[in-house]
Amino acid sequence: MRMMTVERVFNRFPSMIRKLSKELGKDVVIDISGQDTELDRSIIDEIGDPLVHLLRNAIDHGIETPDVRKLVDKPEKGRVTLEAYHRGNHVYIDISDDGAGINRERVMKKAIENNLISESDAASRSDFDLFQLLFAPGFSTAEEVTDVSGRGVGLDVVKQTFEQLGGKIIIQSEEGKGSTFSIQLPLTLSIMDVLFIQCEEEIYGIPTSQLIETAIAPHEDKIVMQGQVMLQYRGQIIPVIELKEAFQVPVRSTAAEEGHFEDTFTSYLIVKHDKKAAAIAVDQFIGQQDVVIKPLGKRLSTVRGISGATILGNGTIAFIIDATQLLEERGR
Amino acid sequence: MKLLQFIMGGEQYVVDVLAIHSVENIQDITRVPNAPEGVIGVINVRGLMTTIVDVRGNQSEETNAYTKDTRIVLIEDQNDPLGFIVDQTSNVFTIEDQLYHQALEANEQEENRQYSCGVMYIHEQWYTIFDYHSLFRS
Repeated sequence: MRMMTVERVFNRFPSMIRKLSKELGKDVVIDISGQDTELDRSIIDEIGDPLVHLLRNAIDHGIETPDVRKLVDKPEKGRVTLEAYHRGNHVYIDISDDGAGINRERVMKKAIENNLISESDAASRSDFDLFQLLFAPGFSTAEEVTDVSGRGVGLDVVKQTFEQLGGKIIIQSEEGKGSTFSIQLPLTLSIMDVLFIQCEEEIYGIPTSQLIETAIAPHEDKIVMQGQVMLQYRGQIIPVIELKEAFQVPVRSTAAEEGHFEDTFTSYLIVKHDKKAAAIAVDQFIGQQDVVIKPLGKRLSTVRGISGATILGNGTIAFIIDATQLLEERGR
Repeated sequence: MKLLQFIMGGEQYVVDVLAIHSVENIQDITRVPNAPEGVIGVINVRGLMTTIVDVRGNQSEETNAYTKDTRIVLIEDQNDPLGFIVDQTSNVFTIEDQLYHQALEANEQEENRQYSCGVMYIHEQWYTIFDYHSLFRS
């Protein structure tokens, strides 16, 4: 297994975009970030073609011609962003454009024509659900078929490629504002920067990529609202997740006997996912370290809130917290 | 062929030694939060994260306590290592292949208990043949 940066794939895109936008009479700049994100080599080798496809789509279907853009008060230069980043056990690649976005009516019409959904079904679907139909085989809404795209083979193959790699792809779009394709890819093995924390006798790590910051707050900052413990944090209130409860950590009963007084401060890991933030309460922070993350094996792959484990210097095992799952669990 | 003898939940078992990866002394088992039933934790076996299950079946904590005889038997199936707790293991028997296969065949008509795929009579004692495949199925 060998890790490589996505730069290897990304570095050919700028010239490709320049050439393509010239061909199509569009004015497009591309913003690339996260080129140093690492992925398994075998995955890198596969993602080039589907990414090219998505970028072509963004320019051909997404970005409008300069005169149209002028009419709708957008800068004449269209913008395509390509961003790779690492979160939890996955690498994400987002491709967004600030073009025309997807027209709900057109997708609906096409989907009904192709017998993908019934008329009544179509009306009741959310935009998000409806737009995922673009990945169905034989689906194309481009009114004009061009050399570059719109021939109806494509997005289904793109989706298939990512799924074969154990990944996922979704599309989000707002008409008039643009579209975003989000790809999630597995890591298989990785070295991550992890912050270790202690909870009673147990030690856990959390990838620093999932952390916004750590905080130590007095008990007075905790309030109960609608049955949920919240933390007052930087002028906002965010829910508190007690790691002890989420992971059912056995509580050491001797603490009181040893004459420990209850601490007046609590340590929190502030995490955020999908605009939802939360404070994970722990006993104490230990320190930051680069570690090799090991998978948990088949029978523990479904364990909630944990994405892997690492072996500490003294040979003991520490689990890696997946804050994303803890946040989602809380939402339910 | 050789069979490893072990005691689990007070009963005598044997298992084909070729299925066994190693036998480890009991060591610190790291608890897995929200673990599936039966899984008591993971241990680090020479750098490999190994899931440990306890299928001894005794509900009382007293009989499930670890003693100096308690061992972890490690088996491996397609790079998915797994260990299970036994109360004691002390013998390896050498027997005729034929006897083992006869016992398995005779068992095919029987209604099976969990973790059993036959019985054998070795050195004047009856043993259950441990069905380690069922550990991976559950």
